[in-house]
Amino acid sequence: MSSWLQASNWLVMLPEMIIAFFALIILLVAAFTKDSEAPYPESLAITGLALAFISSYYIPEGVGYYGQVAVDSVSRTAFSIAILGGMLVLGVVPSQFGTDTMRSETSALVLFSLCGVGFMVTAQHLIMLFLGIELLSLPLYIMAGMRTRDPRSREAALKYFIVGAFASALMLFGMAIYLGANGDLLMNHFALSFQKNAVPPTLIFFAGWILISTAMLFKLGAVPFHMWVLDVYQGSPSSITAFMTFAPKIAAFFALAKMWPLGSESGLSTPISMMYLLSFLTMTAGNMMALMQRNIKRMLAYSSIAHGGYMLMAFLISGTEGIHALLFYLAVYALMNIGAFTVITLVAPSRDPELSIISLSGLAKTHTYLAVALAICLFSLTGLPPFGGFMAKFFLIKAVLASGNVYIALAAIFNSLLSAYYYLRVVLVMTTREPLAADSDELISPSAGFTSIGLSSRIALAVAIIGVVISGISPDFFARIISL
Amino acid sequence: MNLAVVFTFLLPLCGALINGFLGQWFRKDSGTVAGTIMFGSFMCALIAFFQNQASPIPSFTLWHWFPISDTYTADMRILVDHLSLTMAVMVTGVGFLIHVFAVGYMDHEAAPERFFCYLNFFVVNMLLLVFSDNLVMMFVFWEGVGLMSYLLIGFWYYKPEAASAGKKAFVMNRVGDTGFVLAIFWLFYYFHTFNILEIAGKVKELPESVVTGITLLLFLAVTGKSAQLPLFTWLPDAMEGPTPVSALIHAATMVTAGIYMVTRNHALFNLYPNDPAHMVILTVGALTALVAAAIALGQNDIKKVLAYSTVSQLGFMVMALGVGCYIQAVFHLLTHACFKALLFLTAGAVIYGMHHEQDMTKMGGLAKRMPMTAACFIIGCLALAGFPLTAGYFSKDAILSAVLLKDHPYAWAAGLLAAVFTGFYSTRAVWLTFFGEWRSSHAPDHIHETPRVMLMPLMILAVLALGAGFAGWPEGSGMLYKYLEVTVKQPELKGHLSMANWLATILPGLIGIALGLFFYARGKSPAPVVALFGPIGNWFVQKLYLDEIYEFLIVEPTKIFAQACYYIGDKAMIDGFLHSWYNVCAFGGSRMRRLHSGHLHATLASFLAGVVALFAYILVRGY
Repeated sequence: MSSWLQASNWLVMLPEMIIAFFALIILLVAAFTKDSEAPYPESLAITGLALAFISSYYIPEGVGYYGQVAVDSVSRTAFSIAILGGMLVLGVVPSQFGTDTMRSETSALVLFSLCGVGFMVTAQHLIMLFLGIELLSLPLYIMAGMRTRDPRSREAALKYFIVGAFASALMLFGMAIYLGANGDLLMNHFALSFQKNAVPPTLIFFAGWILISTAMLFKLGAVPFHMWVLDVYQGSPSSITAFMTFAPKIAAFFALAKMWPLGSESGLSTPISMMYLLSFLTMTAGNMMALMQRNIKRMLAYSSIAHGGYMLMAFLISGTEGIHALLFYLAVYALMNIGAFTVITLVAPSRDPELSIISLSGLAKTHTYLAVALAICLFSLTGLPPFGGFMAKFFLIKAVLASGNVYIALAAIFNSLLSAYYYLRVVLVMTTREPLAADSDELISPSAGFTSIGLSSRIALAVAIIGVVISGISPDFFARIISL
Repeated sequence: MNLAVVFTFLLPLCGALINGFLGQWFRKDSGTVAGTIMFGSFMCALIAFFQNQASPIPSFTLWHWFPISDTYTADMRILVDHLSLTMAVMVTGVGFLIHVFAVGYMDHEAAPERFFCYLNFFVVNMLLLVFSDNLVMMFVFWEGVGLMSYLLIGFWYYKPEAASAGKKAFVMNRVGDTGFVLAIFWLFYYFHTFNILEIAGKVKELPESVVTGITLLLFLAVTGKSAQLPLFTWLPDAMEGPTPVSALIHAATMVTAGIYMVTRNHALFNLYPNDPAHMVILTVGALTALVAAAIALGQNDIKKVLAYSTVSQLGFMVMALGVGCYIQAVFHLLTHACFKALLFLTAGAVIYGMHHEQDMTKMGGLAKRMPMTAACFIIGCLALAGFPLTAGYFSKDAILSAVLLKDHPYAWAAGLLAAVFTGFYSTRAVWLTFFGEWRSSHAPDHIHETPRVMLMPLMILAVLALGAGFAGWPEGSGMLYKYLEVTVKQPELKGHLSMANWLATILPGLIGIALGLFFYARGKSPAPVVALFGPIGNWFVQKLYLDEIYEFLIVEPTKIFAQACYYIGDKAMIDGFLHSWYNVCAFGGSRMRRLHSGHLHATLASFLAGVVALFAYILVRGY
């Protein structure tokens, strides 16, 4: 028994185990308490995540479970970003659901979903990866439909589920082909086949590779696999949307990084030009369509597609520099989106539930601090210094330029320019338009609106905003926090 | 790390944050908080000043910002040397006194915490600009003071004039800052570093034409920030801000950033002292000194007179830069900071006492009601006019004799004429405000002496305006010269002025004062400027029609260009592109709807199309 334990090196999965354990505890507690006297399930969940976060720095790097998973510094950092983001989202959840019974379930589902992220970033075997995807996605489908009375929410859940199932089917199909081509499902065949001077892979291998990669591209919302993003982001409760913007992206990006040749390190030109096209299409289409949006959640959905496009550029860079830039980008991106969606969560009930951009009119007067927070997030999403979004783009574009891909870097810069138009328009609406009639009675003091906001979401918002600012002012320090 | 230096700028930063975030809970005391913190900052600056007498003083890194190239990282790095320490003492010292004054001046304000938050934050930006060790950091805080200036000019944003004055200052400065950015890029292209001292060490490698180009670009930034021709018109408009702001930003500190920046990069400017760039700098300085002094003659608004006089005095400093006499420029910068802050604050006290009346023709006879204020104002005006043995006399004399010794007689003559004007308008301002008959609509009983909290800073500044000049005496070998020579290497002045020339440099101020007394002290009611100077006087009153000329030559063509951009660029190209893109999407969307019954199908179809496209790509292109 003990030798099995040693050989399996089970410690590498400790953070995932802690998270799953706490998720079960939350469900158990919820089952045995009445709705009204339910303790704060989020605090339990956040404790679990904090423990997992701490533990992830004490477990050794290495391979575990007979080669099924491997922990290295990249996967560890990626997972910590997801965990930290999850903690912030859990801080916002109480404001979203109020005294609703859904809070215990939501907390548990967020934890399960994060477990899936952990599986995906550490997976070394395609079955493990598939389990991770499903563990990540199934809770997301449920959470998308959490507002059961809202038809949009139900629609989002159903659509997400159907398209997700479609992607999973394609992935399974790809895995079958992969098995045929390689004889097993270990993921190191990707790396081996894409080595320099390796025997060129067969066409059948490429078929499997495309189908599996497609499932990842679907998860991160690359064009043309992006169409689900809009309705799902718009229909889901805003705090859950914040979670959706980063958790699946982190998992999918680092799973994809294990199966895609980085830059020119393989001698093959097709994967590079393919990624070139995908990245260009994704950022351009995302920005173009975001320009048209009148609804702030749809606008942010398209913007998240565009950011996915920028991040795909990291695959054009060989070596570790691209991956590090990607990690930094994802961390900042998670914070910016959490900040923006938190403000939307807090503003939504008192304003237009449909959340058109116009409904944010005069927010600077009625909720000064919330407006400032949203403005900081939007400036950062645009990529303006001194906020983290600038640094993220700077590192990424600098690395892309160093790798010799000038045109895609130029495209990214022009796209950022274009994005300023729709991000800053929101700031304009918040500051220059008069508050809507329904809000004018809220005009009391700059801190108005805080009375109705729970302490936890206040803290979560503050942490996200401070993170966005710190990452822009001292990126070194920020990088040290997220990877300790 | 040099703790005293760090606290010098850390304290005001804390003050800004405290007032900004928590100020609404202690509105009444926000000024006291800010003032106390500034006092602490001033003490730290003094400690740093006296602790760091040895040279070289090690600079230190606060934190690494971001790597720009493989060899160079933009850092937040603090450069401590004699020049930056001198400036820091001046900024915090004058800043502290102005904070104290503002506590009294802003006591009727509804939300003073916003004001004091900005004011503290401005000091932080200015200090970090001064302490910058590299050009990137300097540019960041250069923009930072610009931003704070915008916010403070437009502090009363509900007044349309204040809002548009803020915008004007911001836009005018952007024109200059373009030059700064280009110069920074150009330097980086040659040296692959932004570090000022490293650039200074390597600068000899540059060819003359490049140095001329870079220095001209840097000087463009100076014309914006330090309000020189042709970019100076924002500064008089900036008087829409509260008076302590005019004193702090538009007299004592921010506008001197340009002078400081050139002095900081003096190695670059020293390289080819006879190139066209220096000619340009000298000419612009002399013209600005003369033109602004002439305009000041015709103004009736007390703050406008002081604003134009600031522009004119900055012109003197720029003249000194043009002949490579950086220490003289810094000397005048320091004395000017003292007496101009004094003048602005006294003007503020008068305006406060007169219930926000700024027109000098509606004042008069105030000396009886507010004697202390009058005494302070007179002292400031004497220093401004260069009355012998006041602070302004020493520094202006130093500049004028340096210009003559460097053999630029025309610039010297322009400076002399400007000095005559200066004496004249100073006397005029004193007489119209404090002497002659009572012209105010308020009864004399309603006008009281300035409250003590506002008077204290005035007195301290008055002492400085009288005595600060001795720091630079005797000329060329005084205390200040000895101290700054360690940091600022400038070519020595050769030869001495003859007695006649020396007299010629001190006389104009006295002549101006005498003329002013001759015209204004005789009659009881002041003669309008037009009556004194005839048609030329009208030119002065109309500010030489510069605003109108700019309107015609620059604003209108720019508007036409902007309209063209709007219709051709925005409407036709961008909107046209977006609208056609939208039409394509809409058309595609409607086709899709006709083919399918719901979005889900489209989603899956696009998904599958993507997969097929990737397959096709591999099949067609190979791998």
